[in-house]
Amino acid sequence: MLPDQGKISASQLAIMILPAILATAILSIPSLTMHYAGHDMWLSPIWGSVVGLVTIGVSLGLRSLYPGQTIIQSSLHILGWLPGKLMGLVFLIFLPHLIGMIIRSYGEFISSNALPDTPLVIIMGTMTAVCAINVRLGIEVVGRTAQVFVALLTFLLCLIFFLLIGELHPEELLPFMEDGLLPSLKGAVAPAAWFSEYTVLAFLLPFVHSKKNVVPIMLTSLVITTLAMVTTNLFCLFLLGDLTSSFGYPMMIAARYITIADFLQHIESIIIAIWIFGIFVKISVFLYIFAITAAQWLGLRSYKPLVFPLSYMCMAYTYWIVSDRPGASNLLGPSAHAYTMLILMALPTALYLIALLRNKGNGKSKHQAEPQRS
Amino acid sequence: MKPRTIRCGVACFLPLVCTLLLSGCWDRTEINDLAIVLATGIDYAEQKVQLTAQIFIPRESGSISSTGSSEGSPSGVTMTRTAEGSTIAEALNRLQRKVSREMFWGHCEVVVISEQAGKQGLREYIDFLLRYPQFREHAYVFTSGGDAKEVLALMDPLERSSAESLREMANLGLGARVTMLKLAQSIASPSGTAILSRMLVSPADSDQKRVTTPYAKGISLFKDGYYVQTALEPVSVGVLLLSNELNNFIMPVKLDQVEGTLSIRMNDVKTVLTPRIKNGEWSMGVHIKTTGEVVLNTTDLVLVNPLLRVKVEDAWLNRFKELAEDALRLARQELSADIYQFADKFRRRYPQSWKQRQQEWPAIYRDMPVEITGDVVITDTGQSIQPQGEPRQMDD
Repeated sequence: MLPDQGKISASQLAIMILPAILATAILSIPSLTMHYAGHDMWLSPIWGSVVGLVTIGVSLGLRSLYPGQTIIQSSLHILGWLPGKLMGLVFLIFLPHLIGMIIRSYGEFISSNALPDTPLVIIMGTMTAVCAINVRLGIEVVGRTAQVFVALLTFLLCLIFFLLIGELHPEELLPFMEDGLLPSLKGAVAPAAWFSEYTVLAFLLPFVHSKKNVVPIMLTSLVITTLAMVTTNLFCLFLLGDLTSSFGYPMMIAARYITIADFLQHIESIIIAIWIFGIFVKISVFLYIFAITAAQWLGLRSYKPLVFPLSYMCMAYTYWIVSDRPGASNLLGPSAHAYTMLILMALPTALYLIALLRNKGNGKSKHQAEPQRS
Repeated sequence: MKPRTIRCGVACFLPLVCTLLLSGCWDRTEINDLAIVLATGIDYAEQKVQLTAQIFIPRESGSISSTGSSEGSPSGVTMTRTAEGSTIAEALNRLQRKVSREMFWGHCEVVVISEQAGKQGLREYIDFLLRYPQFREHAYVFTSGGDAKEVLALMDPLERSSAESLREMANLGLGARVTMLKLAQSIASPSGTAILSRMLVSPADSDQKRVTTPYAKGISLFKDGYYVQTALEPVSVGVLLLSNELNNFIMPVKLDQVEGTLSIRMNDVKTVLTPRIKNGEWSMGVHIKTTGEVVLNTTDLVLVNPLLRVKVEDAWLNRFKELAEDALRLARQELSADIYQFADKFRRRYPQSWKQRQQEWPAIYRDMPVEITGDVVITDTGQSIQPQGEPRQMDD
C-alpha cells in the first residue's frame, strides 16, 4: 500500500516532471555540452533523450508488471526480500546525495548572482522549508503547485527567448559536425544524466489515478523536455558562440545581454525567477520521492512524519557533499553524471530485465493477481 | 496534546518566525549607499594599469552651478576617479578606497580602453570585465587616442554624461558598434583580431576645459589581442565596410569627364563574405550590397535619366571597390592581420580543409585572391529633379 492516499492525473505528473528535469538543466546544460560537443552541442540533448526513453520505458514496464506499486515495493517481489531491501537502501542513500546537490546548486546560483552577502544556509534553508511544507501536504498539492509554477515558468522562459531573437547569429551553427559525430555523443552524457531523472516515474506512477493515455502523455513530456533543452542550447550558441563553455550559467549572460530600445534591459532577474519556480518544483518532487521511499522501506503507514527530518538531513548533505563553489561545479562533472545514471537508469533497467526473465520463467505473472490497494 | 492543538500552535508560531526574517535582509543596499558607475576607462602608464570610473552624482541636475572643484561638472551630474595598480583588479581595489560609497558597476554601459593600454594586450581586461559579476556583457567598448580618463572626464553639454554620449554614438552606428561580448568573441575566434571605434576629445567650446563632446575618429585595430594600428579615413571607411559596420555615411562620387561631384548617402550597407575553395585554391568573394540617395549634386547631370543613374551607380561601386581594396591591403600586406574574420568564414564553410591547412593560414591569407563585387542602387535623388542653384543660362 502507498503511504499517501492522494491521486494525481497523468498530465499533472508530466507537468511535475518538466521542471524536475529542466530547472537545473537550462542553466548548466549549455555550458556542459558545449565543453565536449563544440558547435554541435544542440544535438546532444537529442542523443541524451534516448536515455529518457529507456527510463520511461522501464518505469512504464514495471508499472504494467506490478501495477500500483512503486519501484521500492516491486523490487521486493522481483528480487526477494533481502536483495529488494538492499536495493531500496541504495536509493535511500542516493536520494539525499541528489537532493543535497540540487539544493546546493540552487544556493550557489542565488548567492553568486543575487544575494552575495546572505549566508548560504539561509538561502537553502528557506527554500527547503517551503518545499518540505509542500511535500508534507501530499502529492496532490505538489502536483497543483507544479501546474501553477510551470505555467509561469513557461511564460517567462518564452519571454526571454523572444527578447533575445534580435541578437542571434544563426551562422554559429556552422561548422556542423566539424569532428564528426563523436563530440556531440560525448556531450550527450550530461543531458543523459538529466534525462535519467525520468526514473521519478517509477516512484510516482502508482499515484496516477487513471491508466488512460499515460504512454502518450509521458512521451509528449519527453519531447517537450528535449525541445526545451535544444532551444536553450541553440539560443546560447547563437548568442555566445564559442564562449558558451567559458561561462558557468550561459542563460544568465544571455538574459543580461538583452537590451531593447534602451530601456528594456537588466532583466536577468527573470532568469532567477524562472530558476526559483523550477527548483521549487524540482526539490519538492525529489523530496517527496525520498519521503515515500523511506516510508515504504521502513514499512510506515504514512510518510508525513518523515518529511521534516529527511529535509533536515538533505540540508546537512548540502554541506557534506561539497565544500566550496568550484567544488560544486565539479559535482556536475562526468563522474557525477555516471553516478547519477548508474543509480537512476542502470539499476531500474536491470531490475526490469530481471522482472521480465522471472515472469517468463513463471509463465503468466502471479504478482499481477495481488493488487495491493487499501 | 491533540493534533488539532498542535496544528493551531504551529499555525500561530509560523507567522511569528517569519517576522524574524522581515527585520531586513543581508543584501539590502540603499541606493544612497551606492556609487553608480556609468563608464569605465582603462589606461596604462609607467607599468601600471589605471582604472577610471565615471560616477553618477545623484543630485538634482542643473540646480547647482559650477562648484569650482576641478572634477565636479558644471551641472554636477558626473565625476571621475582614477586609481592605478599593477593589475586591473588591484586598481579596482584602490579605486574603491577613493569613493565613499560602494561602487556599483551594473549600469556601466561604456568601456573606454586607451590605445596605450591596448598595446599591453586586451586579455587581462576582457577576463576581468567578463568575470566580475556586476559588469554587463552588453557594454560598448571604445578605444581612445589619448587617455581614456580624459574622455570620461568630459561634461557633454548635450547629454547627461559623456558615457551617455558615447553610448548614443554607438547606437547611431558611428564607427564600429562592439559590445564586450562581441569583443571577446572576435578575439577568441580563429582570426584573433578585433576593431574598436576610436574616440578623441573635441576642443573645448567654452572657457571650461571639460565642457565638450567626445568624437569618433578612426578605428583601432587589434591583432592577437594587442593593439597594432589606427586606421584613419579614408582607410577606416573600408575597414568598417568589410566588417559590416558601415552606417550613416555620405560618400562623394566623381564621374569621369564630368565636372563637380555627387554625394550619396547610403541607407544600409551589407557586406557578404563568401569563402571559396576551388581546386585547392582558396579565394574570398566580397559582395557589397547597398542602396543610397543623392544628397548633393554639383554636376550638370539630370539624374532622372536612368542611363545616367547607372553610370553614377557604376562610379559609386568603383569607389566602394577602391575603399575595400585599400582596407584589404592594410590588413593583408601591412599588418598581416585577419581583421575581417576571413579565417572564421573558412572554418565555418570548409571545416575539413581548414583543419588541414590551418598552419599555413597566414601565407594563404596574404596571397589569396579576393574578388570584390557589388550591387549598389540609387533609390532616391532627393526632392530636386534638376540641379539646383545654377545660374539660369539665358537663351538669346
